[in-house]
Amino acid sequence: MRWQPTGLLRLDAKQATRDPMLGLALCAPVLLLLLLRFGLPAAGQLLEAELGFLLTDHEPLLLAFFLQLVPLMLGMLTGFVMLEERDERLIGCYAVTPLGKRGYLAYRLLLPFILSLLFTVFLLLAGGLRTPPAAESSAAVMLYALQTPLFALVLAAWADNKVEGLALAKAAGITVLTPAAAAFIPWPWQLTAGVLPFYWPARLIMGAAGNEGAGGWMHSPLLAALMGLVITGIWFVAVYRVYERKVESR
Amino acid sequence: MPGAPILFYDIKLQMRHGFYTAYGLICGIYILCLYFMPASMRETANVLLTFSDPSALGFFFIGGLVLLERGQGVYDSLFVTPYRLEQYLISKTLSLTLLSVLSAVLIHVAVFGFTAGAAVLAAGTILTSVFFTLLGLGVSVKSRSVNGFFFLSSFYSLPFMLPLLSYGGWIGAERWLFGWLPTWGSLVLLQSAFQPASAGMLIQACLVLVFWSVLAFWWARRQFARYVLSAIGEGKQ
Repeated sequence: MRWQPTGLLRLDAKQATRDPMLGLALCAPVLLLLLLRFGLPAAGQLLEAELGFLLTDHEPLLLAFFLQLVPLMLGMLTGFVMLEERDERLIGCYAVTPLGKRGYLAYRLLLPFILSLLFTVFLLLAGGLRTPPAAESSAAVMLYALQTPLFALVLAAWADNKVEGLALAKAAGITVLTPAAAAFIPWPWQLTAGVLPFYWPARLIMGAAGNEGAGGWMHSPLLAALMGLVITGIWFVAVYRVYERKVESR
Repeated sequence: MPGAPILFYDIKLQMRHGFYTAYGLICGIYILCLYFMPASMRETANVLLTFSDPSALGFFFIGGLVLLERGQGVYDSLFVTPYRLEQYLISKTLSLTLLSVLSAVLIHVAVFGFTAGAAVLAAGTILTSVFFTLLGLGVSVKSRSVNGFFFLSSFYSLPFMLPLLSYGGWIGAERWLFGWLPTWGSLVLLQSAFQPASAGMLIQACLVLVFWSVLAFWWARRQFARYVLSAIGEGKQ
């Protein structure tokens, strides 16, 4: 059984040279890093000179913002690969190979998950921004990486074709503003953003900075990490059900 | 207008695919963000936001639209009818431009009210959207997947982002440096929704946008004729 996923991986590698899907996936974090290391300091100087606005005051917010771009981009990329394979009726072909429908799904979701894990760690370490303690950082990285397969699955489950996928990606992409909710909406009210799985890793990243003075178990990083896992899990189960129904109906 | 039925069809198709629902949601969230933002930043934010999202939405969507129709073999039957390639390109462009201008005006009016500037903003959005959608049509022909389209389109759009540098106030003589780029015209028009620019600037902005749109139309038509029409009937789209 072992050769099938590697076969698909080889196919993807070949595809990457012809159709720049994986190529783009590999370029994206480098671009993000360049933006973080060079674009951000320049923008910071400009904002300080023009508006007297200190960007460094909002470092945790910026870090959370940049980190979540990784799962958003990779998730979207993966989602479109899956939608196009369905538009071209390739999933049915994979289904009759020993890989099977589940093997196909596992492979499609596992690779971007691992890539996100690597890329978020890379951005966290090389980005040059202040990072939270190791425990909070690791939990946040894990939660962010989990958003990648979730976002891809959302696209594959709800969109009927790539055009609907685009509309959905556009609407779902607005979750990019979630860290702003954690930073600017006052305390118990911001918890409404907690139905979005992106909220919890953002809290972990901004934790210490987000709620100066506030303490107690409600604000503990452990609770945020657990809540993140639970909310992400609920989303996965719900979206997977929709996905299965969609795949079975074809 | 001979192309009207196909235009309505395109709009209906975009509604059915959820474009209008998606933009309803996005507009709502943008309005909330602008509303809660410090008043000093609101105008600049509205200009940059209109430029980067509603004005360019055609560029985002057109790749998928073309790829889907191509994959379904729509072109095989479409272009053997009296329906012309030019009508196809215009209908795609105008239908997406409608969504652009509706979103841009909705956001502006909800935050700033019915101002005289709203009309200039609408004009800026229409011209920008026409240009970007036509550019996207030209790019889409050569891509084989949505991701491929995004990859290619980022290269094509990068030079047009240059005027944004001057918008930040980095380069003083931006009119002489960037004044020939369509996006310079977009920013001038969108900005004049708040601070009216001189007549000379406005005329230059419109001319440069119209010129580039005509150029993009010509290029998109050539790309389609070369890569799509020639492949029809050969089964190798």
